[in-house]
Formats: sequence, C-alpha cells, structure tokens
Amino acid sequence: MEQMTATSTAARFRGRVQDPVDFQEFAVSRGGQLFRTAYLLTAGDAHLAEDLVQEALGRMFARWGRLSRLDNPSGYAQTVLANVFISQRRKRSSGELPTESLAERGHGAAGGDEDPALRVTLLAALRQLPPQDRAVLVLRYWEDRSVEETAAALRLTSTAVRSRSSRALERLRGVLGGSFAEIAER
Amino acid sequence: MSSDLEAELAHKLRVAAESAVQPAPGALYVGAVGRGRRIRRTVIIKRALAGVAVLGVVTAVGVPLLGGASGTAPVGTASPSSSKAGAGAALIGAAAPSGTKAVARTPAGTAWMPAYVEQTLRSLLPAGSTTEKQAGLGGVPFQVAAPDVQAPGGESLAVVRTDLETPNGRSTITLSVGKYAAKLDCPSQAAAPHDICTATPLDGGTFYVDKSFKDYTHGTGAAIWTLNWNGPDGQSVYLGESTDAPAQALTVQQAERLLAAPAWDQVWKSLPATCKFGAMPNPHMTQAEEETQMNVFVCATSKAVAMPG
Repeated sequence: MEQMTATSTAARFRGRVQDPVDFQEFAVSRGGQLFRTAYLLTAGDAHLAEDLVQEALGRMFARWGRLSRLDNPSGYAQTVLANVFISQRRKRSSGELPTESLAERGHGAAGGDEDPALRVTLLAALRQLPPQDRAVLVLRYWEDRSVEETAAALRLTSTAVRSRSSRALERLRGVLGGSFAEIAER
Repeated sequence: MSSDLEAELAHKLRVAAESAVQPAPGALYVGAVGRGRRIRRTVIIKRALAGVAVLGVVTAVGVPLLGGASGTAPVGTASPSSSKAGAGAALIGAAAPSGTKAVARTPAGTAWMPAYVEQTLRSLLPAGSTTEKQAGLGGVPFQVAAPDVQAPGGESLAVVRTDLETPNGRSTITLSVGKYAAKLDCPSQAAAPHDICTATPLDGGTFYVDKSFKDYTHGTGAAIWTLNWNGPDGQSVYLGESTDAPAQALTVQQAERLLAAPAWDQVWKSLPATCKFGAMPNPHMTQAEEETQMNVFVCATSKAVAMPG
C-alpha cells in the first residue's frame, strides 16, 4: 500500500469522496457564529463556550460523512449545540456558579458602542435562568427562530416553548428590574 | 411582553454575543476533530459492551437456532463470484498460514447471526491467537453486540470486541460491520500531525488505514490503528486496534486480510434493514443510556419525526 503523508492523503481522499462540504471549511467558517451562540448560552463564559462548540462540532465530525450532505448543516450545528448545552448543564447543574469576571470579558470586544455594565447585567441575568429557558431565549431572540423551529430544535412542544419564553422573559425582567426597563428605553 | 421589548432584547443579546472575544480560528476545528475521533471510538466501544448481555442470549438461543450450520465444518473463505471476494481471496490466499483455522460455514437466510460473526472472526485470527480477557489491556472478553440503529440514516451496525494476544503482540480490537457508510477521512496534518494515513481504492470502495496514538497531538502513548473499508453499496467493515504493548496483536497486513475477508459480506447482508424513515432519538432513553450512548436512536415512526439528513 502506498504510504502518504496525512496532508497529501487527505487531499487525494477528498478528491474521491463526494463530500459536499469539507469539515475543516465548515468548522472554520461557522465556528465563530457557533461560539457567539455558545457565549450567550453559557451566559458569557468564554471557556465554557469554547468547550461547548468543540463538543458540538466534535459530535458532528464523528458523523460528518452523513451530515455533510444536509441542506443546512449550519442550522443542524446550532441545534446540536443547544442540545449539548442542555445535556451538559443537566449533568453539571450543581456546579454552575456566578463569576466576577464577566466585566473583564466584555472589555476590548466588538460591542464597544454599548454600555458594558448593561451587557454584564444581561449576561448575569441570563445565568440565573434554567438552561432550557435560556436556550429558548437564545434560539428565539438571538438566532431569530420561530416558536416552531425552537420547539423542533429543543424537542419541546410549541406550547412549552411559548410558556418557557414567557416565563424566562418575566424572570429576566424580575432579575434585571430597572435595568431591563432601561434596556427597553434605549 | 411587548414586541418592542422583545426586539430590544434581541438587540442586546446581539451586542452581548458580539462582545465575546473569539478563540483562534483553528482552535475550534482542532479541538472538534480530536473530540470527534474519540467519540467515534468511544461509541463503538460502549456499544460493544452491550454485547456482554447479548452474548448470554447468543449462548442460550443463537447457537441452537443456527443448529448444525454453525458448527465447525470448514468451508471456503470466499465466494469467487463476488467482486470483493476476488480481492479478499487474493489477500487471504497470499497469506493463508498453515495454522489458520477454517472459516465458519456461511449460514443461509438473513437473520442476525452472532454465532457466525464470532466464529468468522475467530477463524480469521492468526494461528496461536488467544482472546482471553487481559487486565493489562482493555480487560475485554470476547463480545458480540447486536446491531444498533445509527443516526440519522437509521442504518444498522454490529460490533465485535475482544482482547487479543498473538505471537506478534497484544491489543484490544474492535471490529464492526454495518450498513453505516461512515466515510472515514484521513485527518488533516493540523489535526493529527503524527498520524500515518493511507486511503486506496478497493473493489469499488475505499480502504483506509490510519496509525494514530493515544496522544495524537504529540504522537505518543498507545498506538491506535484504524482500518475501514467502505463498499460501493454502503458496506462498512471497520477494525480498530489499540495497545500499550510494544507491538500490536495484528500486523497491518494481518489486519487488512481480516478486514478484506469476503465472509463479512454475509454478516452485512444479515443486518436488519435500514429504517424506512431514518432514525429518531429514543423517546424512552434512560439517563444511563444517554450517558453511555446506548440505544440512543430508534427507527423513526414517520418522516416528520426523523432526524434531518
């Protein structure tokens, strides 16, 4: 059998296999967006967010032969990400504690035109929501998914999504108090 | 909650998300590939562990069902009429050691046949092989796991796993036969710089051999061999071999011969049909099953509930 380096083999192998999307291209191009979603799901914990994205992409890599043929692998990745998050939070529910480092993560970042304190407050408030409620909010209001799409992604009924969304918004308002009103006013 | 408030929340979420300091572009990819490769191996291993229970059933039910056909009568190793048999027979013939045991008789019918699977694997091992559980290896006795539903397509995959010692060395081996056309790609140099990987055409499919290491980023630790043949009709025959010993149980040539044996065609044909609508998450999966990745998927009851893909 001909011996090849990993690089040359990969290139030749890809040429024979009809994979519509190369995993490396997919991971590099979509990783940033997945990370931003994960950042919200983890309520601003960049390390957890990176771990979450690697886990979600890793699960996709394990079945990439099939998944690469999906019409919308990016949407599927977001769904996997949300479900990995909920699954991991369920297992680690007792280990999740608020941190004091949220403000630091906001410094020097892209969203510099907004009040960093409000951003930190919002993330801290998200952190106090149950994981599934947080996921509902992120999918609905960050990814702009419909109730039905959110329900499908999280394996919930549409009714459950509506009730969780309503409850999460109420809790968010309760936690943020005046800050949330301030958000609305800006 | 007013829609204005919802719109404002969406805006604030976007600002917060954009504030995240992004990791290095390649870091997510490299980490994902590492995890993905571990997932592939772990899922196969954990599914194989289910074979402990299955093996008990096999002993009680499978062998009597197979009757005389599963006995020890030696038969030929290949059907010369099949295209894969040609290459497989050539490989086997070229190396067929005098001490190699006879291959089990191919049973008729398409029922799942774990006893045949076990006999086939044992018959293809080099002379002088033992499959006793070894504490120094994975501590894995000979196990045959029943076919399990794969996602998202709903294909079947059957797994055999055992500790193996041969005159060449010691390993824990995992062999799977499936209607699971997992296209194993050679890893990129960035993801696994020390891997030695080959992919060559064989019988209309692709034959893949990869040597990796437990610590694949530094090329240290136990050697892990992964061989896979993907056939033109969705056949997949996979062999993984890992060891901490100085030499693995099967040489690459022996592993290739084992994998290319046409006897696996019969096993492939015996697997349950692919689910009509594909797979869906097991609605009755227990927490334990979720953690061990066992029975994670079942056949979808309709197209609407099937997983995408």
